[in-house]
Amino acid sequence: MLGKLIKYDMKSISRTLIPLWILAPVISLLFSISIRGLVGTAEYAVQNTLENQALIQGSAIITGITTLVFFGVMIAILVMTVLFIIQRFWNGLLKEEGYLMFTLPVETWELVVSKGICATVVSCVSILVGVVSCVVMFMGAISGFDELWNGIGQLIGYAVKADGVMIWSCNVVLFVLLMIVGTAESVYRVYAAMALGQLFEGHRVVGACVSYIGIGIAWSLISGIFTIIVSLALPDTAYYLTEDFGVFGLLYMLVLLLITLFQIVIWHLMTVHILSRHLNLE
Amino acid sequence: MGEVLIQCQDVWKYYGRKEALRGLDFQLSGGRIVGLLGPNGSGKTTLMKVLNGLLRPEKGVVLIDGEEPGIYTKSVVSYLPDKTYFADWMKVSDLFDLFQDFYEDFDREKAEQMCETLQIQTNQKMKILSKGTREKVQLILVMSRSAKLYLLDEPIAGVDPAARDYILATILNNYNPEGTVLISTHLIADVERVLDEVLFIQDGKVIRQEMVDDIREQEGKSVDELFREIFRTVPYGGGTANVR
Repeated sequence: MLGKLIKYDMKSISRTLIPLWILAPVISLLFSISIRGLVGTAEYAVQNTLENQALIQGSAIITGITTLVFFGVMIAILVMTVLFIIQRFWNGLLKEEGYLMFTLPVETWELVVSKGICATVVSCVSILVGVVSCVVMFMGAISGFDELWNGIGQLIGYAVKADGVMIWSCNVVLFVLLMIVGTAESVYRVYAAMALGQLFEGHRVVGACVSYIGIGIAWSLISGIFTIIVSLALPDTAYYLTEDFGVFGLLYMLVLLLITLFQIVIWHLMTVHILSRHLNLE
Repeated sequence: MGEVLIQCQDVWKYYGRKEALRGLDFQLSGGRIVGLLGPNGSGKTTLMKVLNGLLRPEKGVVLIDGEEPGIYTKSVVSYLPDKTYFADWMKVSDLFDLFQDFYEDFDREKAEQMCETLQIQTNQKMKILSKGTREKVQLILVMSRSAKLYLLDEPIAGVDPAARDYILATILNNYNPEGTVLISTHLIADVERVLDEVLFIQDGKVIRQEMVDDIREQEGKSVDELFREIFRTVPYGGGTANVR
């Protein structure tokens, strides 16, 4: 049943976000080309001592337009992703649609997990699209981009040489995992806040916002105390940072991953408990 | 009398400090159409929500076909809420897909035929349909299931008399005869002719449960007349409006 729920949740995104995901890299490519064009035009004009301002101005206008469109699309992706995460949970489970979803023969946790997986996938794809678009854009906008790549390659090579391929491969895998789990945690935190917010009769949205802030403060306090205890208990971290960076990074990310997973479990249990015991549909 | 399908024993439900259900007790058997009758705010919708698992009672026992509200009961209960529950992006056919995926007792062919009769195209998006058509699609979905229990919350409220006739005819022609239909309403005169049994509910309690034929034979009254008698309130200034 979970698979079927995910199918319907994923279907709901196809009409809104997918066109933007396709549009962003295309626009960034156009932006990149127009920047190259502008630079090329300017260089040509200087080299040939031309005073054809119209040529440069025209090129600049095209670049300006593509810049605006590019940033517009990026903001749209960001806004649509956040809206999607909030709206699909709020409208899909806590408003009228909830009458349909909560009377399907499925467990409450399946409804929450389905929304969570879908929102995490959507967020990760949006982030990926954003990164790819920026890389494409910078390829045109920054001169010497090849040198930048080479520099990054050299840096990675140096790090691999110092700590070994295994450690750095693990670091990369853990980093990617941490990004995905971190995204899921952000999603689940919003879900927990909305589940709490629906309990505030007549002030559900305000309740959700206040709950989100409250959850954030509570977690900061808990994690702050935890960090102090750990830093007192552990030996000097500066040593590891300078002497054994690869291993330190690995351990640090592993701990962070476990903490984030723990957070997800807490927010999930909280959300499921509230929705199965205290559902308050509009 | 068939086997007990719904059993409610001393069911209490609170909204904050307000008591919505106050020790509700009743049993219903299968194979009949039952009217859940009561004035506004008497607890009809709350009871419907408790029966299909949308709300959990604070106290008491609720059993549907011998089981507490959960996955099994949801698979045998077909619920029509008093509001439309569609996502904007969905087409009529998407809803049919969804029902087909989740309910084994959903008869897609029947649903499509009913849409055809009403000239509703299944590739239309729900958001472009009129409110009345959306309600009809919802009714089609609910009545295209061969459920053990149909919970219909105010199915004829806020619609014109012609639409009421259509809704009642759809219910009568399409429900599973071995199942039970529980219709909550305060528009008694319109539904009276289809009812086998009535439950009168007031202030979160069942105050009377009777077969419709018994009311007519023993008391010589229609259900509508009995309802008015039970729930009559004296207006400010005294007297009665005497409006039918």
